[in-house]
Amino acid sequence: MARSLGDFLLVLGRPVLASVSVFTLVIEILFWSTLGWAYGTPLRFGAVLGQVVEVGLKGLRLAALFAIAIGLVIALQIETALGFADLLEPLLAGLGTALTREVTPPLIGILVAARSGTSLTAGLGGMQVNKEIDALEAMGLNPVPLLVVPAAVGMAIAVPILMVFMVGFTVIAVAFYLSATVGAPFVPVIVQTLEGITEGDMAVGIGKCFVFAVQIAAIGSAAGLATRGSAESIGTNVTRAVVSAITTVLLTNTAITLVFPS
Amino acid sequence: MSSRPELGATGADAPEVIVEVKGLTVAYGPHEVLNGVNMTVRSGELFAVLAQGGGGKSTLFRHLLALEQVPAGCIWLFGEDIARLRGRALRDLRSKVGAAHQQGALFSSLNVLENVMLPLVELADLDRETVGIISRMKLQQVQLMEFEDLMPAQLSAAMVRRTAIARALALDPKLLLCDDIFSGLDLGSIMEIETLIRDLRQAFQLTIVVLTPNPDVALALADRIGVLYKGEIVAVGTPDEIRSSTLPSVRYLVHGEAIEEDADLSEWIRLFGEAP
Repeated sequence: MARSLGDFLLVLGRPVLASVSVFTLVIEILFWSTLGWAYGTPLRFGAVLGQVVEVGLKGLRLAALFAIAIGLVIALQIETALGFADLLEPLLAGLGTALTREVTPPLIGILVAARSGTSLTAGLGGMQVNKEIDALEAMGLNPVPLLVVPAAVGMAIAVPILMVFMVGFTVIAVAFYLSATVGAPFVPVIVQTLEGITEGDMAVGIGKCFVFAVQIAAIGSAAGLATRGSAESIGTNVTRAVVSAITTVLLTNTAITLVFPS
Repeated sequence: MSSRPELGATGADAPEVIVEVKGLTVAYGPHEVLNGVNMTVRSGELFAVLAQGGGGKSTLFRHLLALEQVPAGCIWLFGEDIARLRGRALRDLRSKVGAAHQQGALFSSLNVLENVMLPLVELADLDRETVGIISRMKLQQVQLMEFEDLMPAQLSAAMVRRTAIARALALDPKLLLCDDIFSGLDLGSIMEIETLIRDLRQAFQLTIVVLTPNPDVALALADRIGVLYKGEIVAVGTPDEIRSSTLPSVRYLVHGEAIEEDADLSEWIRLFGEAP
């Protein structure tokens, strides 16, 4: 009985401990990125730029592919709806809002969690296994401002930019399909869709992306820094991190939508 | 927990105590790795901790570097109880300690020169040019000048260890801790690194602690050897004393002689008492 209770507490305790370490890391990221300069640890702009390139520029092709695939599916649904009534204008007006607020941010969150979050976990996990983190700490260097903060800030910059591009690619894919199938004018479809996006939609979309970026960086980093032992544990922690990050992104997306409804 | 030890307690002329460990006990779950370890290392001394694989060397190393909380016992470095140090005080202490890790622990994304430069770039208030000059001097000391552009993956095991030593010396520490830096090296490389450590000690009046499972290295290199067996320092002595010891655990680690299960240990307990 005692043993099963112990096992139960252990099962319950692990995610609680993991959540605490992620929360602590979020606080550390916010602290070091804003007040680090006051403690002699200014933000490393070179490393931030490197992360922006890694997440944003190198992730652009995949984001474009996602966007085109989603755009074509949406256009297909619009084409079907157009068979029943002349709904093109109201549909396009709502499409911009839906893409900016609800569709693209969680998609880009999943994309970045899978592509860059895992890379962060594997990188830090490899450094743990190779004792590189120990070497840093033994020198008196804190790995959080040195390794985690530039990655988090780079992601927080790159993910909203990536979202804007992804919305653009999706709209272009919709316009391309509708012009090819139902003869809708290409440029007016794009303009009408973009005109439907309000400042509030942009603020919520970009805000969501910013929050997701910090969450993904914190979860990925916490899992990487928690790696112990062999190379095998890197794989285990990468899997845990990507599942946690995607789940967190989707739950946070719902929470933000409930707080800031369209 | 316990009072600070008297520096140079054995006499007015005795060198300063640099490392003092008292009653260090560490357990991972039910497995006790270190069981009341006691050791003292004085200024300028080359002290080897000889233990078998899995015998607690790396655990001791991590605790000496204050990478882990001390669960029981005390560690003083340069007279400071490391468990009480935080923030800048701990950073200042760490700047006096260089660490060469097992397998090197070089930063795989940085080349040889950048690895050596890193502590200077991050911790020393120097311009980039000066940092480059100092780092190249360190590489010259370990005879790696012509390999500064190579990445860690392109280095031989011996070159990795040399780079790790150069990086450990970057901030001109007074104490150098080496965790099993001879493992996986061929005999020639071991002898070269032994010579390097002797030369560095001579040149910089370093205090050096080498943790190794290799008795030949410990006997050839150290002024004194502490034999760590089953979590305890069971004997401390000069290489000659350790070589001629009759202690079963020492003979096991130094000469590879099997310990008989029914061996009468009362004699060595009488001779050596508790762990020194």
